[in-house]
Amino acid sequence: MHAAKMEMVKNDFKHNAALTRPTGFINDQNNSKWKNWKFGLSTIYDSGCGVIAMYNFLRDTGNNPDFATLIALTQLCNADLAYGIFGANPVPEEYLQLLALEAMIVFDLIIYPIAAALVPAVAAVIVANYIAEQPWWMQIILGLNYVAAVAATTAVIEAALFTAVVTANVFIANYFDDLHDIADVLGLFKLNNIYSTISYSSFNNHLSGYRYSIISFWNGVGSNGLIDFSQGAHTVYVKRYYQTNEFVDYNNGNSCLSPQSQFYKIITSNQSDVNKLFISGLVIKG
Amino acid sequence: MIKRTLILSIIIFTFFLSSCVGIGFNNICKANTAWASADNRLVFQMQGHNASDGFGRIEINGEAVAVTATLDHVAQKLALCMRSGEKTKELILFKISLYGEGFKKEEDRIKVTMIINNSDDDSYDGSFALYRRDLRAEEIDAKHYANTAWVNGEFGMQLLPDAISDFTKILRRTIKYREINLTIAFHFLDDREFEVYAAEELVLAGTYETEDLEMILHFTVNEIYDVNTLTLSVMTDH
Repeated sequence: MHAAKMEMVKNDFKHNAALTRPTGFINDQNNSKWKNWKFGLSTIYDSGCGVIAMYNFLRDTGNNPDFATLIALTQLCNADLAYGIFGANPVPEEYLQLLALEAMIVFDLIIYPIAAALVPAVAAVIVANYIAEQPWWMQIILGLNYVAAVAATTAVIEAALFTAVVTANVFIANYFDDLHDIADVLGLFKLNNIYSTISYSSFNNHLSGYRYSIISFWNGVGSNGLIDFSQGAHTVYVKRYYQTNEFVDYNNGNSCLSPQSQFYKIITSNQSDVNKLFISGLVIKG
Repeated sequence: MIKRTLILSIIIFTFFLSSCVGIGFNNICKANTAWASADNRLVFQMQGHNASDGFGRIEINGEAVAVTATLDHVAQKLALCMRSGEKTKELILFKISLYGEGFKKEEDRIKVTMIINNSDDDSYDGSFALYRRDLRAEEIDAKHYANTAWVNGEFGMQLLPDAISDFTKILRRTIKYREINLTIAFHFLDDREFEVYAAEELVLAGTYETEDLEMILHFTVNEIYDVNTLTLSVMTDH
């Protein structure tokens, strides 16, 4: 897998380095020209908000990154999710482990008991359908051994499931063990004093007094008041103006300054939804 | 091991849903379309190659105000900007959401909800629907291609928009052709006519036709080229 990814990174870099470099801040990910910029199995147009947020921050702080190089660094750090398809990872590694723990509780109490109970039923349906399609004399023979046939089918399904799970587990475990995040990429630019959190209130507490941040958030809640994952998520670079204490967000469809009291407008129009929608925040204490 | 794999699969699934563009949002931006509110107080068109940048008008306290419209399907925002001197300033910022159930979303109707309103008109606070239609062929005009640059490499003409070109309908840049090296201003006039000035002197004028991503100039005044027509192409990587 490593060799394949290296080949992909090299090909992407060769392609991207030949394109016209962006000048100024990148504020237009929705422009179709970004379809030309490769990001693994995706493009900057579809999944590049995280890389763009890093680029805008680095450009604003005088690091003058080359965009093609920044994309390659994101890939080489394994901060790209599923080879770029899902963008750059905004969630710090320690919180991924926490998420895994929460998911384990959900799995133990709900998903696993249901799955375990369903396998024999599924096997019974398969066997019954199989028997129904056989000639009459075969149906009699199989009918006499129905219980054994269901048990055998259950065993086959469980064995196949186990094999698939083991194979997937090796791949996924390796992938997640190596997964990094945006803060790791910024660390390559000697920006190591970064505070990461998945709590909006904690983020806000750490924000005061500092100028640069990168935030990730879900795009909307559904009519049931829960996060609507189908609306996707977004990552943006946000800068504070010290004199006015206002914030400006880049690549977020906006050119207005938001006062601190209305910081939530960078994320959503409804203040009460902010805590739900917030995914993660980096405060760069440079 | 089975548990761990399933847990990680859930996490991966969560991230699958976290890519930048929400389901259905890719389909709302379409070139050569017009958007309008039901009462026609807000209308704008997306012409040319860029499906996200357009130009139109909004009624503010009974008065029509020219605006640029940026329909950002990634950030899920609609930003309306008005001219302010030699710059633009944001007038209203809306959040976009889609109509439809589950994965089946409407493409020709969106809901906009006010986030920031810098106008004096509070009638846009809250939410309302915008409706999309395809433009007719006769409505498509290079003059209305928002935020668009044009080029003809053979004849050395390049036209770039500035911050207020969508309002002034003037593009500036250069003609570099043989021994000629001019800084020019290309003016779109009414009735598909144009004039090109170099140091306030008229050097080219005539009519133009719009054919998709090309603009064909027919000269009635021509102080530069030894041809009667010249074709400019949209710079798609601008």
